[in-house]
Amino acid sequence: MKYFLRKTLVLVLTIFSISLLTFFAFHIIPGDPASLILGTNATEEQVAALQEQLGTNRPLSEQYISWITGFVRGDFGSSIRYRMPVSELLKGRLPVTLSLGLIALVMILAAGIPLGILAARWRGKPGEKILNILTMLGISVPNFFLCILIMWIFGLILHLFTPGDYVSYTRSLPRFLQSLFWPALSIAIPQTAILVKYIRTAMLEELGEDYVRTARGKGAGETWILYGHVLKNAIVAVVPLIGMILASVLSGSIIIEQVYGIPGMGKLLIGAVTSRDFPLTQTLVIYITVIIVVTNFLVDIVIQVIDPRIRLSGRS
Amino acid sequence: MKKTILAMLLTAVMAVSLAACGGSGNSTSSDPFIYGLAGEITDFDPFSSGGTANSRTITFNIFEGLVKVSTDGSVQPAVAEAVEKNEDATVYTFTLREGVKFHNGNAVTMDDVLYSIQKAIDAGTAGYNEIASFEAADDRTLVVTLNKTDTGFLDYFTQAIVPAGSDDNGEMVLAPIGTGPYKFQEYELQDHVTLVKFDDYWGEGGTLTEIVVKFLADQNAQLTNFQSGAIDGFGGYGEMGEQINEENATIIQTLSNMSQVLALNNSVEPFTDVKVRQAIAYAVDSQDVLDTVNFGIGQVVGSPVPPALTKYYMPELEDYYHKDNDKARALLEEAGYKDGLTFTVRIPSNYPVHVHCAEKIASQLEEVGITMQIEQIDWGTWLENVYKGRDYQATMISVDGATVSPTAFLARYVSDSKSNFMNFNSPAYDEAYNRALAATDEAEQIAAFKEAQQIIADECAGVFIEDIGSLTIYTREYEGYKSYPLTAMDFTAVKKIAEK
Amino acid sequence: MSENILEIKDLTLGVTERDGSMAVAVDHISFEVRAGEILGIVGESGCGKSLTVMSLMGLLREDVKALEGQILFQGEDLLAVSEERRREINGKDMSIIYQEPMTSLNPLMRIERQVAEPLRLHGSYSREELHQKALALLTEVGIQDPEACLRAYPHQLSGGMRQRVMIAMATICSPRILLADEPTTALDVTTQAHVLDLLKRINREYGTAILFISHDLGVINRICDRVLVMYAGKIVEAGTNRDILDAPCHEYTRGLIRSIPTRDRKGKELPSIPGRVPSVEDPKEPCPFAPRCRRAMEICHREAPACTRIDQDHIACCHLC
Repeated sequence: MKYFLRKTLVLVLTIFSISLLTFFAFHIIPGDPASLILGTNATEEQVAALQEQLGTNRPLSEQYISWITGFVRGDFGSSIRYRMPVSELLKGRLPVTLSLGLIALVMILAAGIPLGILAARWRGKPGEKILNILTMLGISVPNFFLCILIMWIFGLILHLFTPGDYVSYTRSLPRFLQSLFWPALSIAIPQTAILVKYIRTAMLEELGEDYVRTARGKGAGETWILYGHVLKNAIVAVVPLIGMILASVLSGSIIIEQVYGIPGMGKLLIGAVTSRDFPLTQTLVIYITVIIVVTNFLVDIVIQVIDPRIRLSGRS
Repeated sequence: MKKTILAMLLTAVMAVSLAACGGSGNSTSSDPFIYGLAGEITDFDPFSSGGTANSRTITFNIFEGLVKVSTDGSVQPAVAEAVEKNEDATVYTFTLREGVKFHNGNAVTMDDVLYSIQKAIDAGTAGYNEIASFEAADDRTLVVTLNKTDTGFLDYFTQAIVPAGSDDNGEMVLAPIGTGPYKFQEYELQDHVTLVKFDDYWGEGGTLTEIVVKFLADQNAQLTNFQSGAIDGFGGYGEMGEQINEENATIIQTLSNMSQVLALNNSVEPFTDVKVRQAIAYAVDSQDVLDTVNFGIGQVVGSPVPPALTKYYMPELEDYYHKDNDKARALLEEAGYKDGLTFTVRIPSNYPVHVHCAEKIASQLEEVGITMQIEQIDWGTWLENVYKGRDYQATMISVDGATVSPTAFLARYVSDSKSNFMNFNSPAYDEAYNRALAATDEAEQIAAFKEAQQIIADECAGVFIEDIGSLTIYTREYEGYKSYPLTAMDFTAVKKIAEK
Repeated sequence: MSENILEIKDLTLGVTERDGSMAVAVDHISFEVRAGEILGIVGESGCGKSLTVMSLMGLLREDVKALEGQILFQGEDLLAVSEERRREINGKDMSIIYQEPMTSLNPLMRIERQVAEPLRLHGSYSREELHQKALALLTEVGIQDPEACLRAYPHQLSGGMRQRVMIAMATICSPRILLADEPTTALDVTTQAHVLDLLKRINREYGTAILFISHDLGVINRICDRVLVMYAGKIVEAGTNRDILDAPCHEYTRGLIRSIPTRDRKGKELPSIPGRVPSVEDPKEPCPFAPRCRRAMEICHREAPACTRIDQDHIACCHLC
């Protein structure tokens, strides 16, 4: 219980300091939302009128205070650029990013764990080299390039899908999921590669442990050792990474959503920052913060469930 | 517990893979025309953002003013069926057209018109500060009195007419109601806008029944989406034409109706010296930029006024500063930059075409010992620091006009203009420009506007490069395009000519 | 009495050096483990005793190879058997306990599973049978609350309990021979005594032969019937416990005996053997101990000493014996 209290306190403090940081960042970066909406043709009177309408003529500190007091009451304010309540914007975007993230996560775990085990099994064999090259490629290929590659090969050459053909879940759930498949794959590939590398390293490290020698001494074979002894220990070592992956896929992938044209949280964040939409940016940054803090918390719990040596405690 | 999670995961995977294998098309005969736009439109407010180039792709089809622009740049009656002006162009009398309906089904009344004009005044719309009074003489007659002579005033009255009371709380922002040939149906944030044909349109409407404007990240996304078949058409720059297979596409070449300028900040060293500005103008070869970067699609210009404004356009300025490295070097030496000079050009990164042009120009300037460093900044920063703050040495941009009027392009060069981001300062120009504004005789006015342009060229406010060619590209199933002297997409011109 | 469970003949182990060459770590050693006896191997760390034990279990690190010799287990050469056969023997006929019971136990597995694991690997038993056997074994090795212990994780046990668990685990299949690699080194003196007693009892009651390794001749003397003294990969002296303790011949053995802490030497500094064990890659003299030997003669640096039989079981390899 003490643990939960402490975690909640940490969450609240983190949210507050992150919101302050965002506030200072907005202080520093140049750009005026009203001018951005109106473009270069606007008269000075037009800009002033719109600023008045949007409330962006008030000092930023005043805007911040009104946002944070609203936030505490559960009101996230109104988006300056999209002209609707931030909560409504989130309601539309969350299902998209969460679906995309969860599909990607399933792919990452479904491919990453078996491949990681395989990579550990294949140590010293030719298969290991191939897998190593593949993981290196997966990690080092820039994300946007991977997207283009996937679109080009699977979309334009093999015609397995139509790049850009996003269908909203409000229209058709199956077609929505279908249109998320390839973007999810694009998120999954580099993350899977990282996971494979980590699991492999963790497994190999565990294989050098004394308890593995004990198991061999008992007459256990390779498979028995890997699945019966090493895997669980290796998983403990990669749970924080899986937590980070979870946090990153749920935060919304800016690049993937942008390239595939998926209106999720990442794309919204781009829109919010480029248009200097203060309340929206604040809320999205807080969303990401909450995701990260909560996944860290989940990681703690999961590790605690797997590893009996670790107990949640109120003390640090 | 573990098994439940596993089962859930498996179900999710299966659902996704089933979906991925399933048929991708449930195409019906009435597929919408899908137009890909590089960028996104965030609101449809005709009194604010409706004036930006991107928004006009959509709002041009939804809204109409008392008058509207025609393809030759003249204004034609729209919601008004006739307009008269008095001799010194200070009183304009409009007669409302009968049978014009809003998309909500209501007929347009004088109340709606008065409401809309007041909205435009309140919003600070350009030109509306000239209005001294406006009143209804009767149900169908509107009298607008200006506080000074303005023969070009009608250009401002292309501003939208909306139902009275419809925008009291900014409702227009997300649910626009106009009188145009297409009505707004659906807006999905950052994804698309759907327009449908307005059956009660007073004029000759379009043939397409449904139009989806899809918001795409950039021109790469436009190309990919077009190649994949996700969109049926899009508008882009000349440099994109090379990547389209012409056998599968209809490519329509037009101009973008704005002059691309290498803007030199006239009040920042070294550009305070006209000789330096001229040296750069001589060192730049606009035709070379046009040919190499935009594959020859576009037109070289020498003035802020684009060729589409035929009456005011001065072709003689196109090659006013003919590429001449010797002259450039001589001018630099005179200005005290014998050993060359270095400056930075700040370019908004969301316009790759300007970046590409700047790269070409940098190599041309290199020939005379000028080093131009390119710095890319984001659009918001550009607007704030460069455009509003005027904190820059040089920048590269195409400034479009809100209306089809020379003032839309020339007003910013007046010394004390708020939008004079180049800090151009010429009393002679100010005099010529104001003379043009005051003129009631058209020939006299045209002459004054040309004189003003000549001053801009002589003083070399900036280096005008080209009116960048714009391409409208359709799949083979569509054709038709109407070119206006301002950035707009008129969907009534698009026709379906074949089935997929 | 003279049935041999293990016969090691000319066993030579090489360690791969960084440059790829092989350095000899265990040099042509031969000995046998007789049924029901406790055989000790003593020597300072680095003399090859652990490597020898690991080679008997087939658990050598990847960089260590058996270059020569035979390990005959009931007539079967373990260096030549298939991996499957090796796994059959391990844990069932031959098992091992280690110095570090903490790290030698899987931290994420309950004790019950770990203790019963050899049974699951070498036979098929029902859950209940496994539980009962594990329970019986824990009781056998003297754990107070065996039920609780079965449910525990390794980190919840004390060092002594962990070693008892290790012993239970190693003996659950009633092996013919138990290899014990410094099993008491990490324990405090009282626990050490208990564990030694336990091993002795297992040896007596079940006739399990034990190969007991320690760097501490004192411990060896308390439990072993016979002792091998190893130095730099060679057996330098062998004999019964009495032989070694009462009539050590090799100067190295003598040195080890001098360094046993005893009551009458309490308070005084323990004499230790000067110098250090040569590492595997160091060049060796004909008698590897010669550089540290206080009785070394000129011949010791020139000629390898022959091994002389002093008594029935007592052999020493020294020019002076």
